[in-house]
Amino acid sequence: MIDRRRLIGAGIAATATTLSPAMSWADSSATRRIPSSGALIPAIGLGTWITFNVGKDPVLLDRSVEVMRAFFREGGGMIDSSPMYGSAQQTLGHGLSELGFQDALFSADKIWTSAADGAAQFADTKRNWRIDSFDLMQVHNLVDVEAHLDMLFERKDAGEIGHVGVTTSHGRRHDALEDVMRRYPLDFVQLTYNVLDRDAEDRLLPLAIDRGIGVIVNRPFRRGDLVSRTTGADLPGFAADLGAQSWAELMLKFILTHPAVTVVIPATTKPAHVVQNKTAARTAMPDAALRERIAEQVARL
Amino acid sequence: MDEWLSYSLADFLLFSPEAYWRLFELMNNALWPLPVLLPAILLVAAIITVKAWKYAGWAVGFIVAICWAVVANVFFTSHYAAINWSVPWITPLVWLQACLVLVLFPGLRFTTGARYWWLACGIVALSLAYPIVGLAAGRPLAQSEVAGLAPDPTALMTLGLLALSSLTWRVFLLSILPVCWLLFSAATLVAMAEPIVWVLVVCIVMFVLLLLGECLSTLRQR
Repeated sequence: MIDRRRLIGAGIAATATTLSPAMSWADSSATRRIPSSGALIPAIGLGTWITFNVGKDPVLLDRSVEVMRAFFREGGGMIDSSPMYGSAQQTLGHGLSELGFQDALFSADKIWTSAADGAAQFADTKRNWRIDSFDLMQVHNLVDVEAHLDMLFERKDAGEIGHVGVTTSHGRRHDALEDVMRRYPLDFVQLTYNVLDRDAEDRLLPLAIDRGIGVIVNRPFRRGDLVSRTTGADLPGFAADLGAQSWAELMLKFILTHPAVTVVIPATTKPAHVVQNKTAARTAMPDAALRERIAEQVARL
Repeated sequence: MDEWLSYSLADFLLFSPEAYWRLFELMNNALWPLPVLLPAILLVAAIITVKAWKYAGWAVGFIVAICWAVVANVFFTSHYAAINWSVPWITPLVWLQACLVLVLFPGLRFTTGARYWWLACGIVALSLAYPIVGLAAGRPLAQSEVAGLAPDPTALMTLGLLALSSLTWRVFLLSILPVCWLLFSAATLVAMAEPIVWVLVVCIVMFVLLLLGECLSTLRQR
């Protein structure tokens, strides 16, 4: 049996670097510091939208376990799910039960229901994951956000939740998100940001830095569409200088080099992609000019 | 409103095509040899309907009702609900369809001289041969959608059989859920970028045109 503490040590401590509170574009590390708590967290997490919604299929459940195994072997970190994601929570619970790597896990989930049902859904989510507390609980897509945030901050005070956040995706409801970011002492905000979807750069990402809010980036590849459009395209010459062996790594580096970004949560069904994603955070990072070239090149494909 | 317009069908898809098609593989394995026996039973049902046997309504109604009950209990409840949280809202309607088929099919008047007889027979034949559609789309035979177990061919089979009967209010009532389901399923297939959606679209359009043709014919006779 693999020792959990040793894994965390190998995964996180070996890659940790000291970051100043105000990060620069060129900061290169596999870990980031959560602004509100100061805790270190691997910069590459794991999303579960669609990929972990496999029902009771034993073959796909086994494959999900292998994805999680690769994730923890590479240092673990944030795994993000939601009650909206079908059976993804149960799949995670199954995987955690099989692997027993919970100590390398930064568990993140969401409340996605009416205000009256929030507490019951939180209990269901804990049962599905087979854990007693969460490192992060978010309000999914700002649904009944004020009522849920009141409940979540109470749970945080009670020690049931480590951090509190809110989420959006697809670049929607940014005005409402900005309002919530200004009014509440959030630990995290989750939003869509990638080489082509850059609306968050205008107000939300600078606001996150100003308010000391960690940023979780979802849809880094637009659910795989951005990777698909690079199929057959030669990597640019500068990719080798950055230690990148794929367009996906370049796209992750683009996101990771924004100073507001704390964690990116690409989803995958392939353990090899987990390793590739994790590698993207460990090799050299582009400077401001180079990251613009990455965006331009992907846009041209 | 603008926000809703920014959504695509794919944004509502909760699962991968792989997870969806494997539901049928798991169901077919669990119920073996029913995936082979059921089309044979339904073929007999189709023949006695086509031949307008005196008791076709009772016999076929019983068989098709059981098929819808199997779709509700096995496919929707035991398999599909695990990856699609909207299914528990749909399943009671599928049970209702099973009850309606059981109660209303005996009142249908099947005829061999229907104007669109060949068209109706074509829909029934397609539903029985539906595994070929999956094969043509590149899926393995193990993931076949079999009439009587899978909802799409069961809905097609029901519509084809209804089209073989004289037009009455029963036909309209019994065709509501199959048509609605096929539209829902077509939307799912579009979201999964599955080209076989055209098979469903063509069948739905054919059935609706067939009903309209019968309605116009009935009105002219009056």
